Amino acid sequence: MYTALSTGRVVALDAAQGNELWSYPLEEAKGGLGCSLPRTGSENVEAPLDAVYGIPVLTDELVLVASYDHHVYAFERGSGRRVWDFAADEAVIGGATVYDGVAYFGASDHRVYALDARTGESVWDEPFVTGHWVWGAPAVDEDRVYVGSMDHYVYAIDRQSGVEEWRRSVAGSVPGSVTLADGMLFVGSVDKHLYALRASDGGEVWKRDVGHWSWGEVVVHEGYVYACSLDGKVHALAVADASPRWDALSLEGTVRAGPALLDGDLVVGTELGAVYRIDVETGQGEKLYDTQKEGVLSTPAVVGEMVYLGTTAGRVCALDTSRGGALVWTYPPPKT
Amino acid sequence: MQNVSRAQIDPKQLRKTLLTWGIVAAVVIAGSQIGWSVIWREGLIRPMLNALLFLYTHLGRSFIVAIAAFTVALRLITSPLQIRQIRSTRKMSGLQPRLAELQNRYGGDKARLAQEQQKLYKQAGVNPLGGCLPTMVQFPIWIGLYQSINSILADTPLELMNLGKNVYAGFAAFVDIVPLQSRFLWLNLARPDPSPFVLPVLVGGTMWLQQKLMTQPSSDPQQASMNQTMQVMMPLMFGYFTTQFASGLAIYFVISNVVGIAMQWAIERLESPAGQAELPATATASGGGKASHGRKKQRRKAKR
Repeated sequence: MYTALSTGRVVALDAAQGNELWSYPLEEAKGGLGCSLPRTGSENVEAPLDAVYGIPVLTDELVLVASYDHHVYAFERGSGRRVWDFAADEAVIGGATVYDGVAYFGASDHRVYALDARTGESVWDEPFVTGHWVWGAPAVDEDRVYVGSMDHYVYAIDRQSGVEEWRRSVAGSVPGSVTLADGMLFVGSVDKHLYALRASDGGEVWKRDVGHWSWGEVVVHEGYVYACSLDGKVHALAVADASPRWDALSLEGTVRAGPALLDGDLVVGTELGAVYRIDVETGQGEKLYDTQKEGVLSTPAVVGEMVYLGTTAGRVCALDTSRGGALVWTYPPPKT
Repeated sequence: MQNVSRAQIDPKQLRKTLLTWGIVAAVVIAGSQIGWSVIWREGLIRPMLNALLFLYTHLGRSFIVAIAAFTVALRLITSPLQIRQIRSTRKMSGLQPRLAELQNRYGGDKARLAQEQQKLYKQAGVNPLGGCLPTMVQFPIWIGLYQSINSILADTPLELMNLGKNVYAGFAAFVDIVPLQSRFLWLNLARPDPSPFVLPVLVGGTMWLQQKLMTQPSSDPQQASMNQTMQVMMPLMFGYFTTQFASGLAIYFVISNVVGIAMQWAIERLESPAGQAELPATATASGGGKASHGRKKQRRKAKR
C-alpha cells in the first residue's frame, strides 16, 4: 500500500505486515536546534513533500501524489524513484484520477489539467479554466471529465480536447470530488445539499438537504447512494429519487470523508477518531475501532476484510474486520 | 489593654474586589465544568468569526473593510479600558517629580522606598500596574482573531472544515460568500506578506509610535531603561511575527495601532487639565515642568 504521511514522506508499505518497502525521501538526519538536514551521499536526497490531502493514485508502474506545494509527483511503484513532477501555479488539493493513461486533476489556480501519466506531459493544448479553486478529484468516463469548482459550478469537459461541454450551477461551492455512477453525477455543495445530475447534459435529477456539507466522495451501491456530512451523519438515499432508505445515522464527531464499502457494509471514520461499520440494510452502526482521538479525515481503504486508515497524527492502522476490527499493525510501529 | 486599630474598608473598593473575584471564580468553575476548549470556541472564536463574516457580507465583501470595521468596533468596546490606561499614564506622569524626590530621599533603603511609593500611589489613586490591563485583555483577542482569520481565509481543507463547523447555522448568506475573497493588492490575506518587508515595517512602525505616545517618562533609571527596551523590542517582535503569520492579521495590527494612536491623541486633546487636581498637592507643585504632561498642559494654555 502507498500513503503520504503528514510529515510529507511518501511511503510504500507491505500491506500484510506494515513493513516499510521504500520511503521518499529517505529518513532525514536531524540537525539540531530544530533544523533537519537531508542525508547526503544518497541518490534520494530530495526534500519531503508539503501537505498531501488527496489519495495517491496508481498506474501500472507509477504512484501519483498531489501536494499542497503546487506539484504532482510520480514515483516508481517498485523503488520509490521519482520519475517526473509537474508544477501547477497553486496548491493541488484533491488527488488525480487516471483514465486511459491520462491523469486528470484540478488545482487552486482554478485550472483542470490533463497529463500523460507516463511522462507528465500535458495532453490538452491549454488547461481548462474554471472560476475558482478546484479541490476535488475529477470523475472521468469515455467522453468527459467532470469536476466541481468553488465557483458554484459543476463542469463537464471534453476528455480529448479539454473544451467545456456543459456547466451546471449548484447553489454553493463544491469543495469535494464528483462521483460518477449509473450515468449520474453526485455532488455535495456547501449549500448543504447533495445533487444528482445527469452526466450527459448536467440536468438536475434531484437534490436533497443533508443538513450540512457533504464533502467526501459518495458510494453508490445497489440502487442507493451513501453520503456523509460534516455534522456527523450518514445518509442512505435512493439513486432514483433521493428517498431515504433509513433515517440518517448520527455518529459522534464530524465526518469529513466519504464512506468505504466493506463486504456490503459501510466503513466510516470520524474526526474524533472512531471508525464505524454500518449495516446498509438497517442503518445500524457499531464501533469497529477507536484511534484514541487521532482524527480519521480520509476515506479508509478496504482490501478483502482488511481496512487501512490514515490518522491526523500521521499513523497508518491496519484492521482485520474478520476479527472484530482487531489492530493488525500500525505504521510507524509503536516505540517499545 | 492593647489598642487595636481597625483597618478602614472602603465599601466601593470591597464591592469591586468581590465582583472581580466573582467573575474569576465563575470563569474557572465554568471552564472546569464545560471544558476550556468549549468556552474558548463558543465564547470567543465563533462570535468573532461570525461577526467578521457578517461584516464581510454587508460591507462590500472586502475582507480589509471587514477587518477595519471589526477593529474599530473592538477598539470602541475596549475604549473604557484604554481611557483608564491613558488617565493612569497621565497621573503617573504627574507623579514623576514626587517619585524622583522619594528616590533621592530613600534610594538607599529599598523597603522604605517601596513603602513610600505605595503610599504615594494610594494617595493619588493610581495603580502602577493598571496600564497593563488593556494589553492583557488584547492577548486572547489576538489569539482568537488569529485562529478566526485562518479559518475564514481558509485555503486548506482543514481550515475550510473548521470554518464550516464554526459558522452559525442561521447564517444563510454564508453559502454565497464562501470561499472568501482573500486577495488585496499584492497580498493573499491568508498567507504572510511575500514582499516581505512592507507589512512588518508598518506593524513595527505603528506599534513603536503607539508605545512612544503611551509610555510615561520614569524617574527610576531602571524602569526608564526597561521602558526603552520594551519600546524597541515589542515592535521588532511583532514585525517578525508579521513575516510568519497571515497578512490579514498584520492588517488588523496596523489598523488597531492606528486607531489606538488616534484615540490616544483625541483623549490627550479632550481630557481636561482638571484631571490633574486629583493628584496630591505635593506631586503637582514640585516642578512638573519636566514631565511630558506638564509640557502639553503648557502648550494648551499657550493656545488658549
